[in-house]
Amino acid sequence: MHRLLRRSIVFRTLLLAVFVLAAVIESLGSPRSHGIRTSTFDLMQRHRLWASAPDPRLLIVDIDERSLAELAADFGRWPWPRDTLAAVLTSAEAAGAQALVFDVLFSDPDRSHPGGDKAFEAAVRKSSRSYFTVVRLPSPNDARSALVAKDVPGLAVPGPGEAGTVALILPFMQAILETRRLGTSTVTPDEDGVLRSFAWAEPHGTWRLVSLPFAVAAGLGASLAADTAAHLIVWRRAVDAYPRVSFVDVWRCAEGVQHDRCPDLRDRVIVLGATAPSLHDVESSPLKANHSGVDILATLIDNALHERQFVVVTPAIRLAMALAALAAAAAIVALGRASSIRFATLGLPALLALVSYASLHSERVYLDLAVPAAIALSYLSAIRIYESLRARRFRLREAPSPGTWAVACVGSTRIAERFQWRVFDVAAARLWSVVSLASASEIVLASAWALVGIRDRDSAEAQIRALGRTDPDVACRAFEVTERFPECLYRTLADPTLPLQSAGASP
Amino acid sequence: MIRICLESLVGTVVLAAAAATSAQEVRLLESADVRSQASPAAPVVASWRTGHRVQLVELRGGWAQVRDGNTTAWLRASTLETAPAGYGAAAALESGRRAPGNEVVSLGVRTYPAPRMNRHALIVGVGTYEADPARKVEPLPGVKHDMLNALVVARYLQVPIENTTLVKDEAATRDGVAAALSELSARMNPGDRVFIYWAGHGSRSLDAAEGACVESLVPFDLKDVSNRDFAAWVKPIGDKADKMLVMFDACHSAGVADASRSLGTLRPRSAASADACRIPSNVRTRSFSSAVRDVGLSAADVVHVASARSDEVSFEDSATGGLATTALRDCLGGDAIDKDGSGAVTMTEVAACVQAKVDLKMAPFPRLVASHLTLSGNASFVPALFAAPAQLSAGSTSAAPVGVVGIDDVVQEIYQQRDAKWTVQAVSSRNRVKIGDLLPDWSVTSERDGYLYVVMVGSDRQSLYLLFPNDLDQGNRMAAQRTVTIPRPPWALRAAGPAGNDEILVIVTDGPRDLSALAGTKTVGFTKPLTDAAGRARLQRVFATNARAGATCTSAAGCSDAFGAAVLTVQEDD
Repeated sequence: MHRLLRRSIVFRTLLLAVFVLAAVIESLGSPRSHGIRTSTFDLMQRHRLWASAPDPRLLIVDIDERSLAELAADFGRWPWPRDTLAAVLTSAEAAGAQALVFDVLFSDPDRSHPGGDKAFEAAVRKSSRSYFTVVRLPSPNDARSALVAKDVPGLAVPGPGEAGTVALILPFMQAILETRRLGTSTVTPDEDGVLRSFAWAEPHGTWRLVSLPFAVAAGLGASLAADTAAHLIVWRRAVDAYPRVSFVDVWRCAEGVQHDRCPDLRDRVIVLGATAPSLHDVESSPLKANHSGVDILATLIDNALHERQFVVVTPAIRLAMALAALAAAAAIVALGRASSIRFATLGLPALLALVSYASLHSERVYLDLAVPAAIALSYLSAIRIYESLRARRFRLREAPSPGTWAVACVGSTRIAERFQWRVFDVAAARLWSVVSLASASEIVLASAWALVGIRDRDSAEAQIRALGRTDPDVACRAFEVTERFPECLYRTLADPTLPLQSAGASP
Repeated sequence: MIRICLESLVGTVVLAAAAATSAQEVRLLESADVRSQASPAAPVVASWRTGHRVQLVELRGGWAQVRDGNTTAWLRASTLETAPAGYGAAAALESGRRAPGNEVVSLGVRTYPAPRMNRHALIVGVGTYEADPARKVEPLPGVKHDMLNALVVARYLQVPIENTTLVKDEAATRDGVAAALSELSARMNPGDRVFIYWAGHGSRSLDAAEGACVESLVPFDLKDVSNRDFAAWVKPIGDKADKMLVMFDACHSAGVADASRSLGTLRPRSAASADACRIPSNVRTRSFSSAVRDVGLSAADVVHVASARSDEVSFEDSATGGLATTALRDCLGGDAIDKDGSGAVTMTEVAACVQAKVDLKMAPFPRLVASHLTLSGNASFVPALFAAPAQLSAGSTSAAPVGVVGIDDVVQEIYQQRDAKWTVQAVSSRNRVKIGDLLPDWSVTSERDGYLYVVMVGSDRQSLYLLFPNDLDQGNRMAAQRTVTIPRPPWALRAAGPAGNDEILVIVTDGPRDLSALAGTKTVGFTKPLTDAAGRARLQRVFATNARAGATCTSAAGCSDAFGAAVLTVQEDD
């Protein structure tokens, strides 16, 4: 094997090795690949063709800006006295709502209106379908807490042994704690601040603290396991997918002062929360930078009710997929067909992205192929850049000198890319120039090349023999360069003894 | 002096309420119409005043059925002085909530912002006074409400319960208040934020050093505290504090003006002076803000709110407390509006809200003119980012972009939140640049270690960027007295026009800021234009709060919300 050919093979092998290494590093979770994966995921989430319809039971009772404005006359600024919430809770229970989930934290007594708290307590005691939120504080503060998990029945799922103390912000009313319909509302955004994943429960020693969506779904009969592994959230197709009614309308209907625009609360799963900007309940999600917290909670409850969550491939599987993509890219390169590589450079990553995108629509398994696609794209691009650099270096820029010799070779289009490498290798070794017929004239011979600048006939013949040994599929012919080099070249290629010929060649 | 932690106070209220409930007798907290049915649409059968006692029969929805003699009727439960029977036993345990570093992201809304350990409050309420035949001072029954209202204000200001000191009546002597301020100074760390509140009578007293009568506050033992005295007491606090908000709900007009008499439940908050200061000819105005300046505190770090001008009478409602304090509680709780759309509510906007409420409260009394809230010191101080951040039209449910409104105010407002004692120098290599050329370098030096952030308002007044740190350059830790020059490789900025001024705000913070709140809005490595109301509000919130977790922030250093700042201007030319 020619040493330059060997060098070229060594280079390509090294390039492949580098990309195998990159695949290993990126698949096992470098910050860079995390960014690629999350931005791809977000982009695909926002442009899905379809997604599960929102559960028709879900209804958001919205403390919106209108509610704040219209209730200010009666109750002043938020927080309103809690008899307002008591009225809505009592009304919802009486109307036959399946659940009323408070996306409001009752962490402190209302000293200005203790009677409002009293009314809310009475409403909670009569309620059997209300759910309440608890904030899980950072675990480093567990040691600063005197609470143990068993103090909060309903929130904690017992495990073997004791779980130790736990830092929480609890509702202050005993009546709420006694409902046992509690769940945490704490979420963990990714490092870029975007919320993408959620766990149905959080581990606490051998115990588990269930989330509010889990508590609601379990209360409504879903057979969900209190899985502590975070999973990617299955989003609806767009934000604000759940119907909303203003709190002020629901409250006025409950108070009997409004009779139109009263929502039918029967069989509804009501999420009572706030979208008013002044209450700051927003998070960044893949769908929207300022996604309202209550809409996110409704999404999570919907997912819990339908046991909907993405199974995400493990890093090991991700690595296997990246290596498979790389192997496919390498095979295409080895095949050596120019059009294949050109097509594969964009086609292979696009295919992988398409598979990823299709899997997103299953809403069950997300095949995260962003890294394999990126690896394949990078590898194929690197190969193409390498060859284009070589082509730029060796290609003929002016007519060769008369009296020198040239070798014109024709090969199958299937080996065009490989053949080109070989021509470049030879040119590099001999400091000859190269002319591609495709670029030299209108004649299109997909795999025809000429080596020019050869000193004499013997050298040219020797080169033909060398090429014949390494590339038996290639047919070559030597000729002397004259003043009319192009004509000379075309005549040589038009020789019927050469196996391949352009249909349109007209020397 | 007594230091009462909020739990004790709540416990007292609860015990009292529980006793009342067991007897089924409850009191009205405010005047209310009672109705035949549990609905506002039902006919009114009676109107009962604050303090009216009734028997509680039943609670249904938001309504309470009550009986008074032969009358059985319904009223809103929140008008009654009764409390839930059961405060959760588990909730009464220490839950880790008071530990530092409770920074978590949770869905849902709550009633108060999370407390921060670097906030402190001292609440002084003088509702009763020592008997002195020479100087009769009327009691102020509204002061007990003020103390509760001030506690709520402290909660809005994110002051933890254990950092709140209450000094009331007999404990609120001249020496008692001085000792409480001294104790507050001793327990706080540099960069902490402080709220000091006084409710009670104001007056005028002879200040020997001034050689004239000056405004004063009347403590329990009637040994008046002049503004000069008070300024000297708070000096050590001001030397440490990042910002100090001081409010006096009292007035000093007695002896100068003809102090008004009580009118219904309204009472004046001004006590007659016991000395020659009753004669108006020797009166000198010595405001608290000037006294603060005299002791060497920067006006940028102190905000003083007084319920009335020096020649006005301020009032309390004996059933609800001082008009100004009640209004402040409601305004900080969300009634104040960000009128300039800068993303946060400043003290100027809060004061406007308070004044409107006081005016409304005084409207039924045409004989009286409402007192005027006076605001001195740093009027751009943003006391509570919990309050309404954006100017929104009624019915709007989203923070819609408001164009150029308020974009300059954002830079100025953030700048005004700086600790003026913290010197940050920022120098631009050039003050003018041609459009299309690279922007000049900015050299930044801070007198303290910190974290560097740079915000820029573009000359188009449409773009507001967080320039640094950015995706290309994250290393924003800087050492004291070491000059940092930015932009620096691998990033640079090109003047993109139009002709006009770029405003560059350079900030050096004590602790790192959580930039993830700005996430999702990045473009080309920089946080993209934050020109909508929500974006501006997020930016203000980011710089107002140290993101450092408590577990790594147990000492004073690097734990405060304080920051130093400087503003640069670069002219872009055609």
